[in-house]
Amino acid sequence: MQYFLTEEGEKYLQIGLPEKRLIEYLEKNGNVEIEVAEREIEDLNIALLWAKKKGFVEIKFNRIVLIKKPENFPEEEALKKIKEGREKEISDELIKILLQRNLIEKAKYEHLEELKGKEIPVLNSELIKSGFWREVKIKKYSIDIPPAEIYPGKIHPYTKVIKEVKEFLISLGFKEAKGPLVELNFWNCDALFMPSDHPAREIHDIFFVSGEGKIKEKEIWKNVKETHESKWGYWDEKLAKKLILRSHCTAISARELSKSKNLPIKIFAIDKVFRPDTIDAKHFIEFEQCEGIVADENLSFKHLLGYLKEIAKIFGSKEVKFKPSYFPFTEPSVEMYVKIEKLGWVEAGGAGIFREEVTHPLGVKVPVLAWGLGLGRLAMLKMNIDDIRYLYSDDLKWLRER
Amino acid sequence: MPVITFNKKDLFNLIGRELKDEEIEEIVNSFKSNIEEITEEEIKVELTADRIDMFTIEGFARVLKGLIGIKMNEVKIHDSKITVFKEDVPVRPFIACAIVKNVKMSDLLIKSLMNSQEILHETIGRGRKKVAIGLHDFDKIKGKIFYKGVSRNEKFVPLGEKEEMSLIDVLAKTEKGKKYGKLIIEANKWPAFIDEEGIFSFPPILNSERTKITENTKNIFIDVTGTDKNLVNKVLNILVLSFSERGYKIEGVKIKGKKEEYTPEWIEKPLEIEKSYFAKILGREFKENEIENLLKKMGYKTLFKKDKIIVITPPYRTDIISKIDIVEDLAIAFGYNNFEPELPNIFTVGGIHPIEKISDEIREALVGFGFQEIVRPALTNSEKQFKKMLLEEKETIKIENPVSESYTQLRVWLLPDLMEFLSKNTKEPYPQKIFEIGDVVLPEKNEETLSKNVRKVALAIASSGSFFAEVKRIALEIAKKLNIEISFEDYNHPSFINGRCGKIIHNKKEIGFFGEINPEVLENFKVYIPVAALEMELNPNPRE
Repeated sequence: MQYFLTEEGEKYLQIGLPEKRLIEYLEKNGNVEIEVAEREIEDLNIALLWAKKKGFVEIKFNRIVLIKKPENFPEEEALKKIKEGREKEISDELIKILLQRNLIEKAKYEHLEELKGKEIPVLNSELIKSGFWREVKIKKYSIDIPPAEIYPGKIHPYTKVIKEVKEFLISLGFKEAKGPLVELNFWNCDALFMPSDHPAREIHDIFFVSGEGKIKEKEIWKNVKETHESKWGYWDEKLAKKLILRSHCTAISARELSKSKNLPIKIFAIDKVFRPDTIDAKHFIEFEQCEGIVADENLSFKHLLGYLKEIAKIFGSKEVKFKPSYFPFTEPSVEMYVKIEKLGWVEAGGAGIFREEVTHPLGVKVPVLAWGLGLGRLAMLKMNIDDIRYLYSDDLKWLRER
Repeated sequence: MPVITFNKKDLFNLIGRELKDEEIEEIVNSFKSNIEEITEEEIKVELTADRIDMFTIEGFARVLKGLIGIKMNEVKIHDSKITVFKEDVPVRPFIACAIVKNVKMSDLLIKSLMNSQEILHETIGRGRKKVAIGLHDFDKIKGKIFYKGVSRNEKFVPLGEKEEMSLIDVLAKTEKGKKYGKLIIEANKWPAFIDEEGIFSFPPILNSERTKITENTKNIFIDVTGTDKNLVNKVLNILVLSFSERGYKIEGVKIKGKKEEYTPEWIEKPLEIEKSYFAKILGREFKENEIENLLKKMGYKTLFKKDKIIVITPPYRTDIISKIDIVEDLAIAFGYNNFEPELPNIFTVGGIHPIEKISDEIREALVGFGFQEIVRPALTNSEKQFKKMLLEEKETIKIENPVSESYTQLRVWLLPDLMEFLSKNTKEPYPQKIFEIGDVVLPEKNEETLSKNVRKVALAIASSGSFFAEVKRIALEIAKKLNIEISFEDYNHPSFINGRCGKIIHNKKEIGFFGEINPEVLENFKVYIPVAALEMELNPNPRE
């Protein structure tokens, strides 16, 4: 006949029998009230039951009184022996008490007898508990058979790249901003000093949606109108009210500048933008952009280059090169190139200082450094892919194997 | 950004010396432009939209000359004593003209002139609307020149035709007429240049066959017309610069309308800039002679007056709006890579947007439940969003100019994309557990953009057996992460099996649903295994 410890038995073997813990407590602290003991001693009811039965304690006026200190606790020693497989050293009487206290269980292993000497395919908990594993042969596995696939849940590789970029920017002190996917032409273009007839505002470059938006910021609307009329000589108000799908995250920067009045401002956005295009390995009609702005007194072009040099590190590049560029809303404008192993110099993003024609109508009177990263390219580099469609991949096998 | 091809030989001729390919590349790359390709005979350059003066080979050469340090030619305007009598033409009110003398015509020059015209028309000219250019053999023009509005029945022989045509026929029958006719068709009177023999130019559509430029042309009459006075003058200046760079004599023309004007309007505009402004913007001190030399490279003349600098801007620069544009030119001439980048000492606390923070938490929780994240486009189509999901079509944000039938509107829910994903992967081993976190856009009349972004999560388990309980359990887990109380209610949603769908309620409002997908939907997506799914909002309590 074999026995093994129940969960409770295992527990008491570790922390001590309840009555033992009670008596040790009383020895140390003197007699105590039941309420106090309840707080201090786990399983107090069980402890009291057995300590009273064995005549170690009595209850007097709601206090637990130690009347006799036992020499030893045979049950605890028995538990230890059973655990070690030395149950033959324990008296039947003690076994009976342990069974009664539900600290041990009988193992019923008769059915295992027929396995004796045989080869078994799988080891199970019964075999281990019973020790019967010693009587069987465990079948040998062939080590060369390829295992079945396991598919753990995973975060999309593109999400990971985006998160990495975010964490980097946050470490530089940038705060994340958001904006609507359906945007007013006003915030996407006009507030950025793009003339009403700018070629990038035509249907080849912007998705239009039906309806006219509402302008809440009347003051800014008026300022932008005046700027366009004085600098470009005209302004198409109806076009400014037109709703579109946001075509760049600079729209978010413009909105943010119009509301944040406390300097310094350091904001970034990573979000979706939409542009009509052919759909192929290099182009898709929606993609993520990463843009940031820094606004404060006394900022200058060298600071812009300073930020770009820092941001280049996201690409894993220590070297950075700058090149003049053109954006309607920044002056000076710059393009950043980073050095990527194997590829050489790669265009990484554009930047500039917002023109006063952009900042003044928004009520901002300090220099605003603005930069944007080619997030798709960065992701493709980090994910080691050359087809942009993998960023939105519908291929589960590919995702599982990443 | 336009990409323009220049003939190398012609370019070197204009610059005055030959350049090695590497040399060209270095100079061009220090500027806004980009070399696309250099071959034996040509260079292909991508130019920026602001520097239209570089769209002609002569203008491009002039910029290169400056950057290399070769002295730029002065442009001189002589008087032609010619007058153009201008009448009121409301549809195209502004004109500017000039005459170029003693031109040595060649195939190369004709080709290059056509290229310049074409690119100016399409870019700054906005498809000839704002500005259109006509070049004519001046010696074929007879007598007095008039610009006036004429009837659509007037006739002339348009360029490339043999017979006389009425203007209305030109619009109806010629290629250019069909393309640009819309610019004038609604006007009463159509614009025309006329001499003794009749119409010789019909802007912005066609020139006449009679005055066309040939290899024998010696003298050229330029007409620039348009709807933006400033640009009309600037574009003429760009052309004038081009001919002048080739060493030809330029003569001005009197335009006599209600007022008397003289074109080309070759005026070098002075711009006053405080000396300290350069350092303020660029973060580096520049000495007077440095400023003078750098700006000279970029084609400016400078005068120093105490703490001010008077910068004379060339008449062909259309992009100079204010003094900041001069500062950029100085920085370009100095070389962007010669600045010392520096991080400013400003302290700010960074942070992730709350909706992204909660999205990240949910992502991690779902990955823990064994789900694979997918990322799908926000653009979709009605078939997928509604029909295949057995729903009545709902109001969505639709694109007015879609480029593909698959992407015509913004999604209002995520689950159809998960179904589509499952349908694309039926050969992959099951169970398949996928999720997506993304924005949907719902129409919302009270918002300024008549819509609002809603961040949602959707997940699906495709597997034999029933996963109704598991999906419900995950809804509770998501609610725990969002720190909200939710309850469930029976839901009759057509995409789900009747009796196996629940609505997720928070604050008495529906924030999501879950259940087992209707087999008819499974059939529509050709997914032949049971699917349990859930979709839920992640910002049920949006923070203002």
